[in-house]
Amino acid sequence: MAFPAYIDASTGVLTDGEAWVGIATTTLGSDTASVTFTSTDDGQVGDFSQYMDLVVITYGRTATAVTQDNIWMRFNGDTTNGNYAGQYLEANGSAVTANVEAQPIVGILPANSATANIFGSMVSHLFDVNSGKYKSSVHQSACDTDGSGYVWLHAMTWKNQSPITSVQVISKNAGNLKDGSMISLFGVLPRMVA
Amino acid sequence: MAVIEAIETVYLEADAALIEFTSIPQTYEHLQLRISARQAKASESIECTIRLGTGGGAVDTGNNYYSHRINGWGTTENSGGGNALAYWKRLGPIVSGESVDAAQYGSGVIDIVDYANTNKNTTALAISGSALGATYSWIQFGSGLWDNTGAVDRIAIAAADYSNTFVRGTEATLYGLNS
Repeated sequence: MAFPAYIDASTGVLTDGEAWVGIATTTLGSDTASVTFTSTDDGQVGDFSQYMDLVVITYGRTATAVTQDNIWMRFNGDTTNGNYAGQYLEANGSAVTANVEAQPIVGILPANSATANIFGSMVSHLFDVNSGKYKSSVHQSACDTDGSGYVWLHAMTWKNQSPITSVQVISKNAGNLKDGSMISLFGVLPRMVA
Repeated sequence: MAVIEAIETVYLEADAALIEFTSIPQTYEHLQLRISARQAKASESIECTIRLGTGGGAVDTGNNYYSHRINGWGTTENSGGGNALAYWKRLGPIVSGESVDAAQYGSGVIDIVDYANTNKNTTALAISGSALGATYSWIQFGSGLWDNTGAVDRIAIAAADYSNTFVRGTEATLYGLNS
């Protein structure tokens, strides 16, 4: 049984150990529709309820038949686009664009029409995930595809006050996440001891 | 010692004008501030303002802070910054104001790099935003320079321009990073 990071396994005493806790990593061995991390709700390291923030790090590519593909991040199985609000700032090598979204887009990754073996990267910070607030997040993604590409900054709000108990990463355009994509979830603890 | 350690968490149980971290240990290589905040001001998105201190004294209130930003709000792309101010204004974080739903709090991450080095001025970078609102939904990447080589041992985060308050439920945690 794995103890939470803030409990000394030998004494049971509350401590401030590593503030970032590796919860899970999924590396795809075959093309897969989506990756979902779900809270274990058991008081162990996989229980989201003990963390202040969550961080998702994605190294990925999709099978959608385009060069770059938009990525969604959805929480608690909520598939209603209108429950999410986004603001982005993107650059594609020649132009900078900003706009709002009414869907859970958080970034952009290379897709099937890009040169083989090119993957993109994305870092997502989800804040105060157990509060009664709407769930606010910021995301950075980098998608360079041999001669074209994008860099994106995204803010997203899930207009729901429930604690986050699951996080899904999925292509907006329904392409599978490609074999070799790797997605890691970290829990970020607050200060535990006064 | 842990690689990333939580130094202090502040979770406001009542509205407050200032969040301050004092006596920051000099034992880390970098600092990271993570914040989820809302201000009591009629705005959809609004910046926080940050001051630093060294030598065990009060924060520096002189015009020694520079900051730049690139940001997007609605369909507008923008950049700004450059002139010396008495606090970091354009670094961020950008958080929410009271013109959006009461449950909306903006959020961000600020990295203050090599903060304990006494031979270099202090620099910072931040990503932050608040994605809600008809006009000023916001995303921002910002930088900051403090023209002081002192080791940072105090950080004060104030609501915009030191003239507003943070709303109850605002949270900030300071982390120390080691290699």
